[in-house]
Amino acid sequence: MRQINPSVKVITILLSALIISFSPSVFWNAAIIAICFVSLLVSGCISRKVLNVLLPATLASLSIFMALLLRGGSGEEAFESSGNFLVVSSSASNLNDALAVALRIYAYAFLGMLFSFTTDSQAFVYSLMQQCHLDAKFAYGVLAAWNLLPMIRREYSQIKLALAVRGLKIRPWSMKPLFTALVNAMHWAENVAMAMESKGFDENAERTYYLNLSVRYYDFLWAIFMIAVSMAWIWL
Amino acid sequence: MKWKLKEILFMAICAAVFGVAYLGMVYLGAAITGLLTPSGWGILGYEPIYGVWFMAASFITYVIRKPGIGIIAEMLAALLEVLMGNMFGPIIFISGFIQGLGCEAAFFFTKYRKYDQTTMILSAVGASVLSFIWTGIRQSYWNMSIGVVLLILVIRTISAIIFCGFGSRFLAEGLAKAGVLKGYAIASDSEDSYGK
Repeated sequence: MRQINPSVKVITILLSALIISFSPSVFWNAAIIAICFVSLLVSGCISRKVLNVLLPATLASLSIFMALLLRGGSGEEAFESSGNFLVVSSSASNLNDALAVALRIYAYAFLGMLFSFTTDSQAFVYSLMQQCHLDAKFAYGVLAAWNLLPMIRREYSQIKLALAVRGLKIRPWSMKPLFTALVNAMHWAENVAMAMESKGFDENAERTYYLNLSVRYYDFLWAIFMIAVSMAWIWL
Repeated sequence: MKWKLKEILFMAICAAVFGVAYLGMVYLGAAITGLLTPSGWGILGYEPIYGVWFMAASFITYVIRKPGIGIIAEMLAALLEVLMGNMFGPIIFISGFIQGLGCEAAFFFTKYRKYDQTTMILSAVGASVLSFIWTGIRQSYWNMSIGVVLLILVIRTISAIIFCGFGSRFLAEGLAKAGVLKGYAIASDSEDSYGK
């Protein structure tokens, strides 16, 4: 999986996810999950990180499953007649729909992991520039922000601490720390832009890359395979 | 449309800051979802904070004021989130595009001339409605009872109006008054009101 070109990978996974958004099939959603799982296993990417993704995915999936089961449209009449027995009210078709959508959320999560766990961020942005002709300004802008993230995190907790020291109460929706963080963001944006330009960054110049990526035949084979599996529910 | 490097960095870094700042809200949403799940209302858990996802785009649109900026800002934010390993992976490029389109719509229809409270609210509503259609497809809203679906739309729209319609504007105006937005469109547009 690590060998697949990042641009091909992102487009394929995007298409797969888009196609299964319309899929009502429990089986084929499960198939996608299985394929992603095996791919991750083969690439040696199954670790604690998977749990970190699956936990919120399980929550999201369960909430939608319950919503479809208990708040489903077609189960309404049965709900009134069966009184307190909520489960009775959910017809078999409701259960199938609910299961399909719940599995779809898992499939999204697995497709997402298949991308993020097997792709190097730097290589991804480089590939976007080389294969998708993303403007160098945007590519390096995003890379700059990405590399600033740890600093932004530290800065943000410092701001909150500074407010707390002054006895101000901060709630999660409070805008005060955000305001201060944005002031710093302005300065960073200006400083980084200045630094890049003074280093001779020129978006129009012909660039050379220390990482050269290309699309090979197995990239296409993999892409066709993934899309075929995602579309299988239409015919089978 | 020519983009300055400074503007692009501003967009990307702002998107990162919003992402970091509202991590707490995401936990809040997850907690509500968890509490509501057994009753089948868990699907509403994230709705009260949904406006947060559009905030970066509406804030940046309000500051930089160029056509297409809402979509580009959301796409950059999506790219950043994919790099950070977002749970949904590359599909959020689509979400980002749709939300950006929603944010952009109100400004497009006023020909990018009006940047006032009403347009900001309309932009928030646009983002909410378009994102609602998209999540509707992904989570098959047509299989749910109409009341629940309407409730989702209403809560999400209110959230968007609070966070983007008022919140983003409040932040941008505050920063402009503090004088840190010199060199961006917002400062030159409102020069009279801040003296100078």
